Formats: sequence, structure tokens, C-alpha cells
Amino acid sequence: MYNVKLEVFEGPFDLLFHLIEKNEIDLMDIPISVILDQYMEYIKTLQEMDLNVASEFIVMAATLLEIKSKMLLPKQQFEGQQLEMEEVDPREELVTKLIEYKKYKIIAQTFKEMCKIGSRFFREESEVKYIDKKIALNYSSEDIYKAYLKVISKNNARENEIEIKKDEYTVENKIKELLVKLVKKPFLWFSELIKKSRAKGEIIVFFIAVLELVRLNRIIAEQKTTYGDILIKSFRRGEKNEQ
Amino acid sequence: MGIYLLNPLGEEKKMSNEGKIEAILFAAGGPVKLKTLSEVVGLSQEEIVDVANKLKEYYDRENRGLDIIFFEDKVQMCTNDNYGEIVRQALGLEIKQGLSQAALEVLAIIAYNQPITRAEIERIRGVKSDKAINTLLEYNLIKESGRALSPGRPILYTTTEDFLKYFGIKSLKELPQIEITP
Repeated sequence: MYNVKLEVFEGPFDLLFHLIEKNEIDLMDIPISVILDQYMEYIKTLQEMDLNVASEFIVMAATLLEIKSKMLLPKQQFEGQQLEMEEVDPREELVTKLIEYKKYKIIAQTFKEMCKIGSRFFREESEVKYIDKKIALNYSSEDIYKAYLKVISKNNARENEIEIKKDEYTVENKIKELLVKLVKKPFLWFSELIKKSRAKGEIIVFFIAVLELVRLNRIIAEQKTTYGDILIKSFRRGEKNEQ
Repeated sequence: MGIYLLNPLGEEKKMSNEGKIEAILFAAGGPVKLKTLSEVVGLSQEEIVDVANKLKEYYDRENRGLDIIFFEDKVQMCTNDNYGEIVRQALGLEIKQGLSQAALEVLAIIAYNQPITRAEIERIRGVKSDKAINTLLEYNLIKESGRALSPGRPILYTTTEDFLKYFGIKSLKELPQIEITP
């Protein structure tokens, strides 16, 4: 897609500069016709190019054309008149812009030489590894031994007390429970579902069950307002939900 | 020049000011404020800069792998950029390509005109500059800092501390002065 030649220029100003330098033109007295012809020559190669980029080049071509046409107009003579109009050079605005751009183009070149990206490396704030002397000095090895014994005895005492609780509520069971309820009724409120639940855990598992069924496309859950009640409907693929 | 390296064995602890600063900069890793160094080492900030500069000159003269840079009111140790390639190899770092011409131009415009909006940058360059701006943001050379009061409240861009570090300038006042003769 891209024309290799185009990559060279960063934009219309860049191209203009290239032409000005190539022709050894004085910036303060640009021969617009010469530049315009060469510029248009280049524009022709743009056809294959990305429209966004090409349009910027074309805008500049239009500007050059405008300047050229203004310069062709006969200069108004105010002979004998007191009021002497200062003729504004139609190229002035463009030249100002070009000079400004040239400045940054030169700086960019200097920056290129200054830039140490990829060759100069820094560290971020480092995490210094050290031993805090205060801790090391305030405790004797005996203290540490005593502390160790304490931990050991506690652990021994606990060993026989370990109890594994069985999950009272499982998502699987709650899914079944919910689906059974939905067979009897076309819809169900979440508040109804958890009416008889005492434990927080059970409510949570019910909620997970709802999410799981939504994910599996088995139900539709609607909540009109934040923190509002959730309406649960069964989802029947291919059937009209007429309830 | 003084002796910068470790003391000979068996002697009492000897410290040089260069050594003190070197040790602190190494341990800190990141930037250290001149003020902190001045307080800890017991020299004025100007003297700290002098001593750190001696260290920097020593590194340079002996082709050491380290370097010291100054920016704003901070000092930081970094690697000597002559050894960039070998560091990259050892740490398996991707070779970050240098900045494109477009990115350099945008960076130059931002550096000399900050804070500046995208539209102003594009007016000066005459081309869209989104890609270049994104690259510079990615490299952390520029950052968004607030919004202009003009319509649409456009984002304003400024250069970062990393910009100073990678371009080796102490402050924005040290940006090269460019005179244009048309």
C-alpha cells in the first residue's frame, strides 16, 4: 500500500523544506511557481497513500496554489494618494510557519543525538536488603527458644481440635431447588427465594446459583434498580415467553 | 585526585566524601535529593555537586560502567551509555528503537512550548501527530498534565522527569538554545 518514497517526509512542511533545500532557495523569497510544480510532482505519487496523510499534503498544495494566484494579481497602485497601503506578501504566513517548523526540525536532530534511550539504564528506588540491628540486639537466643516452645505447645494443643465442616449449601443443590420452583411458577423474586434462608452463606450460594443459571442461559434475571429485588424468569429458547 | 575505592585491609574504617555519595547512590537506586545528601554527608549542596562530579569524572576517565546524572534537585546513578548493548544482552531487554523523526519533532515542540495541546502541536507540524504522541506517552517522556481552558478542554502535555534523565539535562532551562537564521 505505502509508497516507500513517502515515508521520507513527515508532512507537507517537511516536503516543502526538502524542496527548498534541494533548490537552494532563500526562505524569504520563495519562487512559488517552481516549488508548486515540484510539489505537485510529488503529490502525484501519493495516490496510493492513506487518505488521511494524503489530505494533509493536498491542503498544502491548495495553499501554495492560492499564494501563487495572489502573486499573479496586479499590484494595486496608490500613486498620488496619501494613504500608502503596505503590501502584504502573500507568502508571509507560510514562511512564518515554515521557519517555526524548521526550528523544531533542527531541535529534533539535536534531540536525536542527545537521546540515551536503550543505552542508559536506571534503577527505580531499590529495595535495600539489610538486617535491622534493633531486632537482632534486643532478643537473646534464649528468648527465641522460649518463643519457639510456646508456638510448638500451642500447635500441639490444637492438633486434636481440627474440625472440617461440611459445606451445608452447595451451588448444585441450590440450582436444583431454584429450577424446581421455576417449574411451578413462571417467575420468582429473589427475596421469595431466600425467604426461609437463615444463614448468610445460604443466601450467597443462592445468588451464585442465579448467576450460574444466567450464564448457562437457563434463566433471565432482571434488576430494575441498584440493590432492588431481582426478578427471575426461566429462559426458553425458541419458545415465546408469554407469561 | 583522591582514592575512590575500598580501604586497604586491616586499616580503620576510612571514608571519603566520594565514597559516601557513591554508597548512598548505589543503595538508593533511584534519584536522591541533593538536600538529603547535604544533610547526611555534612557538606553544602554545592559541595555535594562538586564531589559527585568528581566521581562522575572518575567513572568517565576510567571507562567505568557507571555514570552519575543530575536533574532538578536530584542526583542518580545510572549505567554508562557506552555499555548499553552489553547490559541489554545480559538482562535480555528488548532493543528499544530510537525515537522516530516524528516523535522527536513532537517531543521538541512539547519541550519548548509546554504545556501544549495536541492541536497546537499539529498546527506547528502541519500533520496529525497522534501516533507520535502515543509513543512518547508510552516511553514516559511526556505526560498529560491538566486541560486547557479553551473550548473542548483539550489535554495539555508536558515533559517528564524521565525526559530530563534520558536527554541528560538538569532542567528545562538547559534545553539547547536554537537560533534560526532564515
